[in-house]
Amino acid sequence: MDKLSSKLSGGALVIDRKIVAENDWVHVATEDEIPSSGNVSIDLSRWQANKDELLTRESQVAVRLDASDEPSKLQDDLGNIPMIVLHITNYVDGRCYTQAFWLRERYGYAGDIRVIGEVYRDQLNFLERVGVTQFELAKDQDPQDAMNGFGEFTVLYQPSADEGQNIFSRRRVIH
Amino acid sequence: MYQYDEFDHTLVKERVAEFRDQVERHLNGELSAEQLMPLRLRNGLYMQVHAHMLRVAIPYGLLSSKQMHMLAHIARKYDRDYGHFTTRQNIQYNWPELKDVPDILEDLARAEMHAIQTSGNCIRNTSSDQYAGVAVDELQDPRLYCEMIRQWSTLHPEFYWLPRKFKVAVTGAENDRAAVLFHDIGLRVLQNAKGQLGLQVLVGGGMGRTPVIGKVIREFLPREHLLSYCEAILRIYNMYGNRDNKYKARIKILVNSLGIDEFRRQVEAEWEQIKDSDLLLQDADFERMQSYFSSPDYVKSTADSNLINQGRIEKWRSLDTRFAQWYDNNTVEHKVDGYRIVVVSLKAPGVPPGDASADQMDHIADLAERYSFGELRVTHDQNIIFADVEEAELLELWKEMDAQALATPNIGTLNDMICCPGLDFCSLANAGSIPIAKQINERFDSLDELYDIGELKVKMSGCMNACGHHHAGHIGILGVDKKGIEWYQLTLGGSAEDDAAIGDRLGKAIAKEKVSDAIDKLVSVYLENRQTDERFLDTYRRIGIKPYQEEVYG
Repeated sequence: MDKLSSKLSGGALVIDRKIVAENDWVHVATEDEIPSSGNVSIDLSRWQANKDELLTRESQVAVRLDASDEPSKLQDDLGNIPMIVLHITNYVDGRCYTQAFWLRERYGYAGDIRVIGEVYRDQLNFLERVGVTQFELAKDQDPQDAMNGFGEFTVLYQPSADEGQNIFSRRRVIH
Repeated sequence: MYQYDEFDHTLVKERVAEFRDQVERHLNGELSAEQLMPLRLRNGLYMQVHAHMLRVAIPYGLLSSKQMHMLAHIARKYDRDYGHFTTRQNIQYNWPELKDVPDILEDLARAEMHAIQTSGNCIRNTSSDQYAGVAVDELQDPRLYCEMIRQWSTLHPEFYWLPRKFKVAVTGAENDRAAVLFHDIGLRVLQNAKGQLGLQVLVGGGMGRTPVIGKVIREFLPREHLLSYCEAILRIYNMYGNRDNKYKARIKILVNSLGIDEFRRQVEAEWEQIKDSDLLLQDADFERMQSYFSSPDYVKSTADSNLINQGRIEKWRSLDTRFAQWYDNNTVEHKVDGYRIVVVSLKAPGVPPGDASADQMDHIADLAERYSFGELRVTHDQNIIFADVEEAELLELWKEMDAQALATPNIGTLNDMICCPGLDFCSLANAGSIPIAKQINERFDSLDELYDIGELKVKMSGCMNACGHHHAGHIGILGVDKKGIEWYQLTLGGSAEDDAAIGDRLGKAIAKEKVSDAIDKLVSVYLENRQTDERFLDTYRRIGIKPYQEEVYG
């Protein structure tokens, strides 16, 4: 990975609750030049300004949202975007959870949603519930240990962007 | 009351296992203190001045005798033999060891209790009317709505990292005892002209640094939309609430900056998307939930039994002044003839308001078992309630309570103060609260004087965060720190009820040793000016702040 984009790169990549050896995506920082080849994630403003040109690249282009970015701005482009990256600069900022939920449930986005930045074990469960499919862990997060962060709860009280159901509709069937 | 089913048991057990693992990782050095902090907060565990503090949820203030015994057991086994009941109907322990907390939570889980989301920037315990189900002015029982909100909000994946804490209160009575106007979401259960059940939804109320009275966002929400409407409000708040400045992060600031109309527009637009989703509730869901809160098996009264009871109580009152004082102050009319609501005073002189010893908790639990169908409630005023006591048993109950210092006949008086833990325990506090409560208690030690003064709600907070709800006190007391010295800012005229108002600042802060003198002066202005049955608050509202200022500062 080149030096320019390494500031946004994380530690191990987790997909489908498994640690994946290959991570062929480069998250290109706002101020950095886009490498001529390879899969890249681009921030929302650059995407909006250069959409047509970016779509002509041979490799894939993902759009990266900061916590303050509106997912609605991607509404018309979703069919052309293979992956949306949510950049978590501070894990106590919970906006990424609503961003992911909106992408899945309001806009029907079916591609991958990846989180990068401050991604630690104790967030994985809820991130997965709101529709995140790929987790680029923080560099100081032990990937093996992170695997324990999935599936800690077998009971879900509410629907989200997963198989979770309203507990009251579940009980209707049982009782 | 609500009983856990297999889902609830499993969820709470899994939560304990998760937290046990987090604490172990911290003690092994794998999770830093900084990383543990938000995780322990969401399990009710704070770091205070001297030690950790654990806040245990008491959903809408309702407890069984068995649960109260468990709270006593925890106080005895893991803490220093006492607990502190809070203004949001929870209990706090001031001295648990971090390593013991997973065991405490496991013990709690056995009694169908937990500490989930009792702190941190997430949806907190839903509070309610302490007289729910037994109040004479009740229109609808609010508890089923509270329990549904509890379940929906527990470990909600999207609303676990909000801009700031989020509190919901529900009332179903004519007179609001749940302070719904001072909550992030306030709900009033009501029935419309067509007989349909629903809720008036209020949003953006709160105390803290910037006290705000909640605004109506929806006059009538059919009840099947309870969860989807709350979810829509939370989603807009989660996305657009201020995250740069924690003092501007509560939903009240967002509502005020957008204006209620624009905030409503955004919420309703979101709600349109989700109102018919799986969140939509059915009548059967409410009926099943209501069955948990059905009335106990009351003894049927007759015209004769009512007369006998009346005669009995009159006789007891005339034979023992102390019983009469207790009956008049510490019991409340019940919706069923032959029953009375009894308030257990946790405001005995010399004891920090809201504190109960482990032994007292056990006694209270036993008394509830024998006299009140094994159920108890915690009040916003930091007392305990036996909701269903037979009138015929009042004398026996009173004798037993009196022997345990639980019958101080001061409910609703100036000495029934609300008080946060203050500088003695809390790391946020600027000044002590408990020593001021003691000072005021000592000054007003005559019951006759207290009764003459009548209803006077004194509420005290040791800092701007307003845990003691000082803004809503008829007299509010706010502790402030000036160059390392504790001073006290007084406010007048606040109320958390239907006539909700934020107290007016009296003037410059008062020195610590002069607080009870100042209260004395405020009371004397009231006594000189009151007309017939006027309460302190009514007189204040009629004559304004000037005479009080002149008396205190003149």
